[in-house]
Order: sequence, then structure tokens, then C-alpha cells
Amino acid sequence: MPRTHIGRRTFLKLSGLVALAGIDFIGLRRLGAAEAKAAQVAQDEWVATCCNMCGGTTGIFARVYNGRVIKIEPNSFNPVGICNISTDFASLKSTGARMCPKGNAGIMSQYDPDRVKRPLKRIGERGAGGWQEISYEQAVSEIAGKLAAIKAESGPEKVVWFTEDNTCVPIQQSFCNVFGTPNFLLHANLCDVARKFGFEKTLGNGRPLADFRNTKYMLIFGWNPLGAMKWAHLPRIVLDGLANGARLVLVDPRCTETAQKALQYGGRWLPIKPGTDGALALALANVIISERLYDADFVANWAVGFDEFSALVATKTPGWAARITGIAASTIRQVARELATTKPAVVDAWSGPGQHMNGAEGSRAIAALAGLIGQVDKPGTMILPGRKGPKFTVPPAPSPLPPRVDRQNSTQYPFAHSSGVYVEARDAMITGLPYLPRAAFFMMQNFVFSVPNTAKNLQALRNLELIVAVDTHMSETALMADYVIPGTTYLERYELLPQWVTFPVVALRQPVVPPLFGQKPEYEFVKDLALALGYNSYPFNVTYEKYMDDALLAGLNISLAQLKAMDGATWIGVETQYDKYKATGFATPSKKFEFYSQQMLDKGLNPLPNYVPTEDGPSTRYPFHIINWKEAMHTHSRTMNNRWLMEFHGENELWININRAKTLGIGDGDMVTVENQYARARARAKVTRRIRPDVVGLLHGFGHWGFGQIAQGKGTNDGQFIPGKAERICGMAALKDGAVRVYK
Amino acid sequence: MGPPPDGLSAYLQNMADDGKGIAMTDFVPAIYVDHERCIGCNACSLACKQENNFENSPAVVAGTGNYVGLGERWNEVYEYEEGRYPWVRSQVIALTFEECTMCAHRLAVGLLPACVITCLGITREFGDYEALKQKYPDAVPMGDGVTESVLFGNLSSVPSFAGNPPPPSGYVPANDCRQCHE
Repeated sequence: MPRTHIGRRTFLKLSGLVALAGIDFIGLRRLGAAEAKAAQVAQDEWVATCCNMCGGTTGIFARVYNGRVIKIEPNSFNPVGICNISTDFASLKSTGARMCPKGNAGIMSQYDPDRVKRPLKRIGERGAGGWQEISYEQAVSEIAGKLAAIKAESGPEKVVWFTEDNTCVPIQQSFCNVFGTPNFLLHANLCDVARKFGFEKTLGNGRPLADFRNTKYMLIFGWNPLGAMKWAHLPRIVLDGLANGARLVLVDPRCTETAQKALQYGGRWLPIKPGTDGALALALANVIISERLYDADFVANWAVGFDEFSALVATKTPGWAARITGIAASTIRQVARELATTKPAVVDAWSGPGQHMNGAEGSRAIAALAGLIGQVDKPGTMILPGRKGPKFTVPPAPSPLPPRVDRQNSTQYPFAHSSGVYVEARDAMITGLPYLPRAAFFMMQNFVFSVPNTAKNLQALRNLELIVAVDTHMSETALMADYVIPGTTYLERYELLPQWVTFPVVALRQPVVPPLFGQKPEYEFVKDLALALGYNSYPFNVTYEKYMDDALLAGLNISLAQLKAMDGATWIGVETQYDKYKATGFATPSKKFEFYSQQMLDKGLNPLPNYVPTEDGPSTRYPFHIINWKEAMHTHSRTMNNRWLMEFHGENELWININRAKTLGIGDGDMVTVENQYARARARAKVTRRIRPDVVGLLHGFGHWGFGQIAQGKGTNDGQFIPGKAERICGMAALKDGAVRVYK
Repeated sequence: MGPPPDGLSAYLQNMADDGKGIAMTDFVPAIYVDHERCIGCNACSLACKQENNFENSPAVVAGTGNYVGLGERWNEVYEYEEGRYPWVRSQVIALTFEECTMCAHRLAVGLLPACVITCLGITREFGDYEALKQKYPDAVPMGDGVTESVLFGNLSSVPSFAGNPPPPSGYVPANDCRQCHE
């Protein structure tokens, strides 16, 4: 039993603001001066805002004391962090919202001594690390001068603009449009574009959301919602579903946190060969169709192309898929029967199946399963979210637009996402085809680490005349820049965020404290650049608050001041709606769920989601697939200078199967060499049972040399081993295709 | 703006209202951790550091006189695995060390402990020590440098393997996870 005893009188003094009369607290230790000061905890200011330690925008409260953020807490007025269904939100709200470890370490990124404090101008050779501090005004005017010269000499399209997709996108798009460059690339191309493509081309919505909490069956391909959580509510809704008796089948080469829970709750982990998810999905369809377990009503009334799809999968037997995927035919049959006969069911995927050279087709085959069993837009299935958001006015792009440098709108990528094709933009900087860009902007994005094939990325940047990086920290990309502009953290700037739940929600991110070094937020920099170039039009000629205000009034008929005053700075619209397709049809060309896509045929592609092998897999010389992933503790390549997160996980170990490690003489914790035709590097081995024998993998984002002092030299960069191609239908960067050998 | 409405006062109010609550005169703050739901994310550990960190935390503002120093932690997640691929049994376990104050400075103003309100798996339940023990009879306290005010539930939730082929002969699942921090 606890040893310390605190008497009733002491506690009553402590209790301060709440009436807890009659309670005798035992077990509070070493309280010291708590009696006198505890009440102050509730007197600091709680500012409602949204996190940005990753792109998930979970609702938070930032507590400010003496002008400093001292603590970040969950925001239970904002559904992101609680759940994603409106009725669940109503019942769970009183139990509070949640926050992931990254969110809990936010203040260490905010007050990181390694932040960029002043605008920097390169002196000496590109990438050598020589810098001179200059004034913000000088930086803006010099950059604007160079942009004007490039535009006049060789056209506006020679400027390429890259950005993270969570920070003032409309004003950046406005700038590119007015300046005249079509080359505006966003993060999504490096993330989930293949998933978007798969669902869009079948059920007409690129971002359906899984109702894990109310389902009875979860089939998840290459996603780890209990580890790589994007929204803080994901673990709760998955675990609640499991506790309510749902069965979870997790398809992944690695036994992720989600796979562990699948096993623990009596479900399955299917350790699949990387890049073969599409084959598994087609074989599941084969069993469901041949045993007549599909939803005949949905297929007859709400789908097109079922007969063609049936003919396609007739030969895709479990035995065929077993040879490709490494999953036993009997297991495939069992899973197919369970999936088709347990309702409601969720079929979902994220980046795992998508980031391969066959990612678009694989994602479409997975999405087709949801239609086959009729599990769409009902409680406990994949929901088509009701979205509403601010409507920003963006000035139109000039017409005709010059051709894009990344071939996004060319026939080479018939269904490329609007976020662009990073790999092509990078290759254009090397080959000069279709043309050589002269300048690049990187807004909160570490291009060198995020695009596959690090060496090529560096080579590409050396061919540019002007590089501007706007970021809170130095990065390998900023290190290559001519100008580095100090960015702001999410605690220092505005953003309007339509939230990723199934009902319309818009939340405010707002400056909780002023920018630490007096620097201007990103949107002010874009505005200043526009004004310096003489673009005196809307939105550059109004304050950013006014621009947001106009967008809110246009989209939601509320003002910025009203949104700020709302509980948790969160606007909530109507409830989650189901069966919407029954009234309006699916948002596909046929208004039906499309097993067969006419628009793909029209562009010369296979109208059916056929299986094609991916590329750059293992060979005799390089026998291991190399994959990468995200975990709860880190995001992308941005969190590796956060002192607390690095204290808990400061190195990304190379996961290797215990049996293979034994053969190679590798022990747990040994330093090993990872090598292929693109790179060679050292890594610390994690010897484990939790990964396929023919696969090794790294948590993404480590191995920095240009980030802050904590990040430098820790762990191994995964991107250097990847060939660096783009999927040929939707342009997705093939971040998970690659093979290496490993030796001690 | 004041704190969000997920505080201790409402909790205690509910306990008093339902008539089945514990004798309030003996309230010993404790936390029950359901390891069946724990995903090992360490959000609790980071929330603890944030709340009690020496440099600039609410605990400093409140002056509790007991801080997590640089490089220290009062909460930590351990994981272990066993079995033979692909029959993997693994478990995580979240430990809270002796230094824990149960966030006394938060309780005093009606807020639940920092780890409880942040836990992503909703594994943590705050309440009276004896009441929690009654509610979860199988829960055990730890000791040996680990605070006894945290009760550990479902420590031996062995994967059933119901969905996978049976494990090979010779596979022995361990029933006691406590060995993992020895």
C-alpha cells in the first residue's frame, strides 16, 4: 500500500477550486509547496487550437503561463481525438479527447534551441553550410528580384513550388497562379495518392473513412492505425470495435502494433510479401464470387462491371495468390468466407499497398472488395464523409498554362493526383526534360529525405539556381538552399482545418503565442513576396485574418471571431449521414460502384483492377525487400530533433527476422551494413520475430546530417536505398520498392 | 478559458451520486491500467514528462517540488516478444515508478492525472485504490521501484492464435509478463 499519508486538512487546502469536502487523500507524495500554488494551474490560459506534430490536426488546448506554452492537453470539444462518427461523439465527448506522444512533446519542438531564428543567406558553395544572417526585408526583396528575372528571362514555369499540405495552401496556390507557374506540388503525392485513386475510381470518394468502432470485421491492408496513428482517436475506435467482438485481420509484412492486437483478440496477422496486396484482394474476391457469398442486391443495383470483374478473378485462385503473396491458400479461403459473412465489415488500406509500382491497381482491387460485400456507407463500414469547409477565393491561373515540369497533366500519368509527381519534378532537375527548372521553393518540406533516392535528390538540387526553404529548422533540403526563411510552428500561426471525421467539422488553429523570434508566419511571407513582385490584388492586399474570415463566411456563414469563440474553437455541422449513394448515386461517371472503369479504358488502361507485379524487388544479389513505416513516436522526417521523442526512441533500428539474422550471424543490437546499388550505410539491427524473413525495414525519417544537433547522426536514412520511381497511373512515389543485402 | 470538462470534480460527483461509491473519507488516488488495450505508444510517458518536467511545466507552476529531470522519466513502456515466426506473442507493459505524485497538483484543481487523460488506448481508469481493486479483482500492484498506486490488469492476455494455424510444438506461451522488466 502507498506509504505517505496526507491528512484531510492538507487536502482541503489543496483542493482549491473544487468542493471535495470529506475526502481524506492518502498517497500523495512530496507535495511541497503545492498547497499554496496549485490553484494557479487552473488560472493559466487555455487556448483551443489544433496540433501539427503530424498532419492529423488533432484538437488540443495549449496552456499559456507567463507568455509561454507550458503544457498541451487534449481538446474534448473537437471530435478529432475522440472518434469519427457523430453519434459516438455525442456519447463519448464526456470521456475526454486523447493526444498521441508527439502531441505531448509539442513544446519541445516549439522551444527547441535549434530552430532557425533569422533569415539566412548562403555564402560559399551550395550545401557547404556557410550562412550569413540577413534582414527579412532584404531576403524578400532579393528573392522577389530573382523570381522576376527568371520569369522574364525564361518563363514563370521555371519556378517550382513544393509544400506540405497543411499550411496555408490557398495563399500559396494564389501566388503560383498569379505568378504563372503551374508547378505547385503538395505532400499527398508522397503519402496516400494510390489509396485515393483506388477508392475514387470505385466508389467515387478519395477519402472514405472506416467506422472501426461499430464494425464486426476489419480487413486492413498495410496500415497500422494503432501505431502510425494520424488522428489520436484511431486507437480508441479500433480497440472499442475489438472489445465489442469485431475480428481484425491485418495484412502487413511486419507484425505491427495493430497486428499484435489482431492476434491478441483472436484475429489474424497475414505476413504478406511487399507489393502483392492486390493479388490477395483478387483471390479473396475469387472465393467470395465462386462461393456466391457476395452481396447480390448491392452488386445488381448499385454496381457496374460485376460480370467482367467475375471473369477477371475467375483465374485468380487462392492457390495462384498463395504463390505470389506467401499467404496460404487455406487462409485466403477462410478470410474470404469470414469477410463475406460477417457484417458490418470494413475493408481499408493506407500507404503500405500503395507506395509500390503497382499501387494504383492494388488499391483499386482492395476497394473493389468493399463493393463486392456491399459494405459501403453504412454504420460499421467505409463511410463517405460529409465534408464542409472554408471557401477560399483563389485567383485563376493564366490560360493557357505552360506545361507542368512533373508531367502531372500529361498522358504519361493518366490519373495523376493534383498534388503532382515529385519523382518527375526531381528527375527534370537532372535531365532537363521536359525542361530544366531554375528555382524551387520548399515550404515546410524536407525534399531530400521525403522523395525516394536521396542521392538523386541532392544531385537534382545542385542544378538549380535559386532554392528557398521556409522551415522551423534546418534540414538536408534547407542546407542546399540559397535562402532559409524561419518558419513558424503550429503554436504560432493560423489555419482553418476541415477535420477528417465522417461529419462536417471545421476547427481553428490559432497563434497561441507570438512567433518566438519575431518572424512572420508562412502566409505573411507569401504575401510579402507577392507584394514585392507588384501583385497588389486579392488576397495579397488584405490581412490574412480577413482572407480567412471571407473564406469562413463563404463556406460556413460564420466569421473568424465566431469560430474563435466556439467551444474548443470547433464548428460542428450536421450528423454523420449514411446510404447517401441511394439518393444521389456514387460520384463516379456511371453513378454506380465501378468494378469496371470506362474512364480508365478511355485512357487506354485496363478497366479492371488486374494484378501486375511490382518492380525492384529482391534478387540473388540483394535478397531482402526494404520497407519503411511510421510509428506513434515520430512523423515523417520532422520529429527527430525533439529532445523528448528522441529520448524515448532515438534511433531507427533495422528490423530483421530472427531466423535470417541467425544465419547471417547478426545479433540483436549489432551494427550491420545495409547495401544496394544506390547506397551503403550502417544500421543497428533489431532481431525480431515480427517481420517476414525476406524483408528488412526501417522507421522512416532518421539518419539526418542537416537537421538539428539532436537529430544528426542518429539512425539510418531509408530513402537512400529506394530506386525512386513513380507509379505509372496515379504518379504515387514508389517509396516501398527496393531491395538490399545486409551483412555484419 | 477554463479547463475542459473532463475533470475530477465530475468524476467524484458521479461516484457520490450513484450511492455505490466508496466511502469518501478513505479515498486513495490510484490508476488501473488495462494491458489488454495498451498499445505501447508512450503517450502516458510523454504526458507525464510534460506535466512534471523541471523546466516549464504545470507542476513547476504549481510548485509540487517533485520533477522529472532531464533524461528521466516516471513512466515507461516495456515490450517483449516470444514464439516462433509467424506465431508471435508480444506484449507491452506500461510502468509507473515510485516518484509518481498521481499529479496531485491536478487533482487539487479538479483535473485527472496527465497520463489518464491522454492515453490513446483508453487503458487508464482513475479512482480509489480499494474501489478499483474491487472492480478489477485480478489487477495487481507492482512494487520494487514501481508505484503501488497503479494497478495492472490483464497482464497475461495471451494471444489465442484462434485465427492462425496452431503454433508449432515446443511453443510455450509465458503467462507472466512481469519478467519482462527484470
